[in-house]
Amino acid sequence: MLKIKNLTAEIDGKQIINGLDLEVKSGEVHAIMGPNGAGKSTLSYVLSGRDGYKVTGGTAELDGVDLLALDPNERAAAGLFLAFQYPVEIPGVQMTNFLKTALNSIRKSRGESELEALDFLKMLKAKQKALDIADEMLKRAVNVGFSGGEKKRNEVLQMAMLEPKFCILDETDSGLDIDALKIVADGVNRLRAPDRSFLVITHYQRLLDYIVPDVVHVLAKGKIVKSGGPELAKELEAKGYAEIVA
Amino acid sequence: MPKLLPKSLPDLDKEHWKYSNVNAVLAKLELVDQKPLWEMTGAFEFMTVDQEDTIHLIIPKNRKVDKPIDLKLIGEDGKNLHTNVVIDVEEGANVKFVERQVGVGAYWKNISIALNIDANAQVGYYRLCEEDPFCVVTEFMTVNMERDARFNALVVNGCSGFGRNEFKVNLNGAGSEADLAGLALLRGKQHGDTTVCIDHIAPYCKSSQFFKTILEDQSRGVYQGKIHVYKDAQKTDGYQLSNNLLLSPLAEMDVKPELEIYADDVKCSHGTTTGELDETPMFYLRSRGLNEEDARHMLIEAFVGEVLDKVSDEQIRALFDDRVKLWLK
Ligand SMILES: Nc1ncnc2c1ncn2[C@@H]1O[C@H](COP(=O)(O)OP(=O)(O)O)[C@@H](O)[C@H]1O
Ligand SMILES: [Mg+2]
Repeated sequence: MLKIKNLTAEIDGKQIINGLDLEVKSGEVHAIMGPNGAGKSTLSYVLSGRDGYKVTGGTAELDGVDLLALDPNERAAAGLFLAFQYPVEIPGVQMTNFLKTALNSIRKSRGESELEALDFLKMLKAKQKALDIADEMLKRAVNVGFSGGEKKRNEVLQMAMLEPKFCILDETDSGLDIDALKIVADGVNRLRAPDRSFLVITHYQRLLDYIVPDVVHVLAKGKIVKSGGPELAKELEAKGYAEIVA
Repeated sequence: MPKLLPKSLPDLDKEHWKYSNVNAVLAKLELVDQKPLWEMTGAFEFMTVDQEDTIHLIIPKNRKVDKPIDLKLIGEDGKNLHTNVVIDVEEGANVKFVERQVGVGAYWKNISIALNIDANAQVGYYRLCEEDPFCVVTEFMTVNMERDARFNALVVNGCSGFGRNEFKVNLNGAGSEADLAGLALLRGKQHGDTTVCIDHIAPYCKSSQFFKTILEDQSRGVYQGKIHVYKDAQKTDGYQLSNNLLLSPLAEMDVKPELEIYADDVKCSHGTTTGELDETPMFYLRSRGLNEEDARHMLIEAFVGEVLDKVSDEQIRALFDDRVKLWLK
């Protein structure tokens, strides 16, 4: 599904990603853990095509499609989704309108017809319920006045609506209490499917008790320094990063 | 009510007119005077015209006028139109006005409106324009407000080649409240000036100014907003915000917020921002599948929507939505 080879990238002329290799197969969940400043968010922005994040070498392909050649919206249409570490507030853009426009943009670029208003609402109702999102929240502007937990649930709602094939979750667990964490993890687990893969970026092992990964990677100084099974996350929790990164 | 004459338009050396050289623009036009013909719908029973051609509207005491009164002034190529309108809204009355400025060609409209809102009366004032990009429009509105009067205004400007919109609001009576909002949509070489001065003369009054500008191409926008709190105007609540969106490197925005406060127990705030569309929300939308044009569109509509949300009347809101959609293409 996702193949990254020897990827290097810089911000403002400063190299942050230093020859990163990663392969995630269809249906797999990979976790990326690593200390603050390791380049985890940078990797997620590079993959989703944010301005200012300059790829200087290597390749990244999603099902054979060269991601790096595409605009951010084309990557979304190709099936990539990023749940932001810090979801963005957009005053004046109402949630429902935002979700509908996003969904129809993706459908359009895939050559599908726009969804009828009624079908859209039906789909939304079903997904919001599972994530415990009230109607009232969808009447507000995107992320404006949302609590930390609401913002993260909202990211998962968008993911559920857009039905991407590759999902990156950038610290979707940070700042959540255990109840909120369970709701988010359940939401993600429901989306697990043989033709959908996940890259779960996290700082804490806790999340991986709920979203059990197939592979755990440790990212430090812009590259993957160690990979293993779920037990690696436990080892990291026990020993801290210092020993493994060193 | 003194008539505004072309000769009386001040030069740039007046601080107040520093950013808008109207005389230079007018010097390029050859215009002949024409009697302005307002088309007023729903105004007939309230209207008189005096010998000086000043139009007088009186909304009688405690009268609630259900349908908005429509005031439309058409500009014609090569003409000068100077017009004075005096509106008296008597105690306890309630009325809404929709002012429409339209026209084709190069002309100058010089509009002076005096609105007197008596105690406990309420006025909604909504201005829309569909002017010609070659015309010059100067509009000056004085609002006198008595005890507990309410004034809500929303103006959408920026279709004239050169436009100046000035509000002078006098909060003469305690407890009166003025809420002014506006949107200037500028492109090409348009010049749009919004100048507001609110005088808090009596105590316990409240005022709000919320103005936004969108500038494309080589357009130039001006916003000057002043809150002037007199010595006796204790418990004043004054608010002012100006947000401006520069969509072209050649566009220019001049902003001058001013507070002049002589009372000691007041709450006044002002803020201003001028910049391009933020990269962060832009990326967020694009990562959700919106192409660049759609994402820009959505963010600009949102920017504008915050001002339009000031209109609670659905029919009037729809007029503004249509107008703005037309501009956004
Ligand atoms: N916009 C930016 N400009 C310059 N440096 C940045 C920017 N964003 C991140 N960095 C730097 O890149 C490195 C990696 O940051 P980040 O990817 O956010 O780390 P992580 O998500 O692993 O905590 C850090 O050293 C950070 O200071
Ligand atoms: Mg991060």
